[in-house]
Amino acid sequence: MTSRARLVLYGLLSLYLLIVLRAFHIQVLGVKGIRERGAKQYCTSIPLLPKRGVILDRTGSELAVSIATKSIFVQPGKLKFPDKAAALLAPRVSRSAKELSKRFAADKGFVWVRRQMPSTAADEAVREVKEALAELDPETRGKASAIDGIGTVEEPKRFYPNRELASSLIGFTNLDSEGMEGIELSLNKYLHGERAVLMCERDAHGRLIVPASSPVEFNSNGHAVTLTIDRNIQHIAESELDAAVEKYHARGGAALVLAPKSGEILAMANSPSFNPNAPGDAPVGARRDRAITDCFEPGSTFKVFTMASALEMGAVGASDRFFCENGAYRYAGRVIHDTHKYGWLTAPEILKYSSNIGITKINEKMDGNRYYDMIRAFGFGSREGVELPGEISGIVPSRDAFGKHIRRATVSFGQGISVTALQLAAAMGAIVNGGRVMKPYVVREIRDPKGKTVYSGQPKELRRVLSPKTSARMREILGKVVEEDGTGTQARIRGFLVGGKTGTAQKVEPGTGKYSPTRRTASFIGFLPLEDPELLILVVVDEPRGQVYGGVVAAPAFNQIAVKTAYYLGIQPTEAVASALSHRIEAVAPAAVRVTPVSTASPAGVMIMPDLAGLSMGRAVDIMGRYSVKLSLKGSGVACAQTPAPGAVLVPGEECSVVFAAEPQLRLSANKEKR
Amino acid sequence: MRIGKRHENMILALCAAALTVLGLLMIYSATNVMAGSSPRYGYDPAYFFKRQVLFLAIGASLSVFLSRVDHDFYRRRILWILVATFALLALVYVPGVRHTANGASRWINLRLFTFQPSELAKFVLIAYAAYAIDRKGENPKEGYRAFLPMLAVMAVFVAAILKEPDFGMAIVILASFLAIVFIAGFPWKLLAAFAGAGALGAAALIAAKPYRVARLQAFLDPFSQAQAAGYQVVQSLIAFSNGGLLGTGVGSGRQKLFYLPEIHTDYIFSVIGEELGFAGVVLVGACFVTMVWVGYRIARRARDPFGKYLAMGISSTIGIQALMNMMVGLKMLPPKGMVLPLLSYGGSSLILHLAAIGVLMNISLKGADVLVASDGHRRGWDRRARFSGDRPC
Repeated sequence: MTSRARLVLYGLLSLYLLIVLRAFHIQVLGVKGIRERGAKQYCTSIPLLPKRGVILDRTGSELAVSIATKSIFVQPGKLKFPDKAAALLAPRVSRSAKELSKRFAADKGFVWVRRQMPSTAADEAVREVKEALAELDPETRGKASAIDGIGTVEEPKRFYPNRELASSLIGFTNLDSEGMEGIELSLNKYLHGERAVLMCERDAHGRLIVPASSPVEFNSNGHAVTLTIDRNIQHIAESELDAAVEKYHARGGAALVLAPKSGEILAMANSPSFNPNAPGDAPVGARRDRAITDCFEPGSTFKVFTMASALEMGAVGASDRFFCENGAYRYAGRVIHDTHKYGWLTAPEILKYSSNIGITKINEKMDGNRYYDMIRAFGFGSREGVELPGEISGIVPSRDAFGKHIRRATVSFGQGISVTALQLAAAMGAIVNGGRVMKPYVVREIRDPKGKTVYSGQPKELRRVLSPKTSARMREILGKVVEEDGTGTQARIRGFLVGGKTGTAQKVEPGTGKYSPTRRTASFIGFLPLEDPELLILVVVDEPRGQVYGGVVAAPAFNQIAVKTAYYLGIQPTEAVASALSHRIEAVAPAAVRVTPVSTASPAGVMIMPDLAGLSMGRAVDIMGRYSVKLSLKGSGVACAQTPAPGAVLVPGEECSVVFAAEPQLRLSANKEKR
Repeated sequence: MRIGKRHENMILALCAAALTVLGLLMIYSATNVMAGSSPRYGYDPAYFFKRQVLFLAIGASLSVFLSRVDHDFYRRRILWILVATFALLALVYVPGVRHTANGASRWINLRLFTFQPSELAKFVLIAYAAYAIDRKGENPKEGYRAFLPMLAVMAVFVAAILKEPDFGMAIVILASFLAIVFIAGFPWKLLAAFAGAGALGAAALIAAKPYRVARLQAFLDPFSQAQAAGYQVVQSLIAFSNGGLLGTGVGSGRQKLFYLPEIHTDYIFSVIGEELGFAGVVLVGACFVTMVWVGYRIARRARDPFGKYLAMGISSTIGIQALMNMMVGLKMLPPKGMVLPLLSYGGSSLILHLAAIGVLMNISLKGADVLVASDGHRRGWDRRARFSGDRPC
């Protein structure tokens, strides 16, 4: 071999040795920066969208659930025919093609086309559009999978199967599953679930390969919250409140059903209400929980607390008589009026006839300081601390003001003091339950995704304000209010002995600070059974028109809620009058609760329209709530007509309507024949 | 033991077989995810593998055939071969016939396959150089007169290749050319001038295009632009780094998951570095060096000067291209875009390299049984012997 050939050969050999050295350096010794960069680029973390926890009522029925939906997105930069894509997508997502092509033209990497559609519909729409787009280009013809830039992503959506039911209490979430109002907001940290992150390997296109570690069980789902609310009682309260608000063309109203012994809130109704499935469609005002966020001057219902305080202090006796000045009493430079002229009244009669003058005179017998303490002890002027956002404390005049006689006098009959509906109900609970102030609560239980209870709502006695003796005397006095010539006769229920108090308060004119001549807050707060109260019901109607008195506007609603709830809960009618009432309850019975076994579990996950005939609205809502359909209800009473017909296959999102009418017997027999 | 011509051919065949089979394996490993997920390849994970198997079958048959064809045929028909090759090279500039990929028009479109004429030109030019050296004889004084026509032919071909553009191929051709004219005994001065002119030309070419300057900068500091111009270099280094001493195992590499572009062609060596580790790098490199060494031994005992220089040219070309490709992968040279002979995916390259090895084997078969003269001695060539060998059929 020539020396030159040898030189070339050695040259190549030395290059080889250099390569080996270089490879040894990089591969075996390792070069800092290269290795780290490599390790980093394969790792990716995907946030796992936690499924929001369910909200259940006390019976375990779902009030809020999360359903799997898909959102369609577009990456405009990757679209070959953005205008064509817009035109194809538009009808499938019910948006205008013009608007979509405008969005696709914007210099954005990612735009939502439509969020939270039913999964199958979203997938189908995207598939169809991709297929159509693939046909436009000879390169991709017949290969829909080659079309980039359109896709779907899974996004759980909050769904409220009962629509308006308890909407202001439950609240709603935004599109990102964050609680915005109500329980959804206050318990967001439980409901939301943990944002878990799954470490994955990825390829250079960002596609995931295999989990870096063996599959881990992710308990990132939200906790399940069980409320003290009973859906059926809630439904009763809402429909009766709505009826009262509608009948008297009122601005709104609130109704509360409490268990006075425990402080559990069984129903918290607001009118107007809203559909939490589309919270944006409702005015903001309709979305608030008036029972805790609004305060009002209670008017005569407050006399109950003045009376109870006076009795508890021993300032007056139940048999003490007061002269009621025949309707006009000059006091501390003002004239206090009664709606009717009264002469001498006993203390119980003062409540029964709701005499302002009488209660002013009782109030005079008390020490101002102690009276103030009692009012605060009932819970007025401070938040109840219920598990709901936005609660306010109301306004109680300062302790000093209780020295000034005119201010004290007006407070004694519920003027110059502002309370929330919840405060009023909770305080009334203490009056009737033996004198214990129970903390009102709405959360019965919180369970983690494994089913372990992490929080359990328990009755909590905050303090004792009355002796059991005073409480018993108050129940007796309040029972008289609904007697024949009392102010609350319309609250009477045949078969039950009930107690209660009406309230008709003038509203302060906003701006002027003066009492309005026409605007009133009509309320009724009552309980049953009289001797051993199980239910406490408050109905507040804001600015009723035509009739303004609590005894006329609110007491009938109380009556209906009480009757239906008592029947539903199986509270035994008071024996003394049991025979007299039986037929009436029965007339109500089938409409209120009739349990019909309805199979909702149909083969292979197909949704079949059940037969709703003869069911109450509550029951119908209950059953239809298990389907993801739009339910529209008309009328009242029992279901008598429905579309689609029983047995029809339901499509998610389909419009179902049920018409209710008040002919239980007729419909029932007709149904029986049909079956 | 003396290494005779049968042994040499056996070593050559074994090296080529080892490299091509390893290439098949690495091509499948590198492309199965990519091809399996791409509609362009019909979601067939073995798309590239199957095609390469076909190319290997064609290449191996051609290699066996050419080992039986007397290499003197190329010397006698060199002008025709040159013209035909240039015609093929020119087809690359004909719209409709050419096939363009990654901005370069290097291929002739044959519908089912594409053909890269520059791969053929590479070996044809080497053969031409061997022919020219043979013509001038071994007289160094003839140097200038013989060198200029060679340079002219080279310039025309290389210009055509550069225009495609195929910078890498041009460099390989010029380097191999330089190697054999150097061995042929051309004066140092002449070669230094040629090398200097080549370097200047390369510098001018780089300076002419901003993207080439950027690539050079990216080569010098790839991590500063790891997501842009330095991307391939960085990803290639990561592949080697992942491999360690013994590699991640065939199929277990991660750089093929779309991180490293051109992974089955220009960067197949990086896959070897990742999946077979340092051991794979050493062995693959050793195979190539062995082939060059065997090629030079064949050249030593070649029947005639044409055979000698052709053998040296073929083995130098394969060695230079292989080492350059490896150096690019290890960031020892700037990226140029050249395949690893025998290993990278690509029909033209595989078939023509195997064919060249077949020619090399023929030179070996026609050569002396054992080297009689000692190393360093210049043997007198028996000019008549050229015609005593087998005639091409």
